[in-house]
Amino acid sequence: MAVVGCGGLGGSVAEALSRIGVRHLRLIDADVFDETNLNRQILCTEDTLGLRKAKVARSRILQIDSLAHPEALCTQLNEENAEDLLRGMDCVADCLDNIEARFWLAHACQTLGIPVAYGAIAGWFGQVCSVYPGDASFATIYGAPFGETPRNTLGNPPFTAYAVAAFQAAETVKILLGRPGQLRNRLLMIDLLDGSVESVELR
Amino acid sequence: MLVKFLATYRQIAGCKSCDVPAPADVLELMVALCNRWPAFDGLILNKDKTDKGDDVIILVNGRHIEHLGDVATPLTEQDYVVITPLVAGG
Repeated sequence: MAVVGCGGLGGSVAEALSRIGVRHLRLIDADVFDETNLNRQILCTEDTLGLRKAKVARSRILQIDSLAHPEALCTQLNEENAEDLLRGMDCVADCLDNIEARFWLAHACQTLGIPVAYGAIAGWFGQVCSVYPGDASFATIYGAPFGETPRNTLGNPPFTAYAVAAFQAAETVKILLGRPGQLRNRLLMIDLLDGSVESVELR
Repeated sequence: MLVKFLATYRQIAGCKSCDVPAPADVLELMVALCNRWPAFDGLILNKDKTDKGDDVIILVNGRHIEHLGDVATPLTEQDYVVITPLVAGG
């Protein structure tokens, strides 16, 4: 399966999936760690500053499980490469940080018939959903495709990334195993400031 | 009509949800909410009060209003509206 984005969400999702035994992980991210990532991105330490996020994720997974086969692809998912990057995956974890790339990921997964475990954060809030081919959930969440990503004025504390990544990794495992209770056509809203978790039905 | 607030909008409204008389459409609802809680101005409604704000998600009965009639989507007492800021970071 693929984890797209290896930052706040993706780093924790990749680690959780590795620890539960997912050995074939394709890790996709073009960015390098910088000091602004230290507050929340679990793979970012003073030692990994300046290093490629996907490669750091790959190293971390091999530290956890030397028999794993993680791939690090240091590229930005976009219109041209999305299908090539994701072809053959059983599931894709959308851990991206911008709406445009999220839509290209969703579009490619619809075309390829791949379910998506989606997660997003802003400040103390996050949301998670499982989106299967044919579902309208992604367009329901964001409206018209390829909108602009808003300015994030909230900042992202570490616990938001960890909490949302935990739900996202659980959704991924349920998708991979075909377990019931998936957040399909339901958007789970996690509000750590209010201390509440609730879901909104999507149509 | 039930209106539910999520994320930072709960702090502005000071509540998780409220019951309001159903206005004619979504635009009228946004104006009514801004009149009741002026801090919503510029967030859920644009400055000209002619459209929704740029970063707000409005669902009517679980559907994004861009798939309905945008802010002209008609409302009835039986409708259920969710208003949330756009969340897209990772």
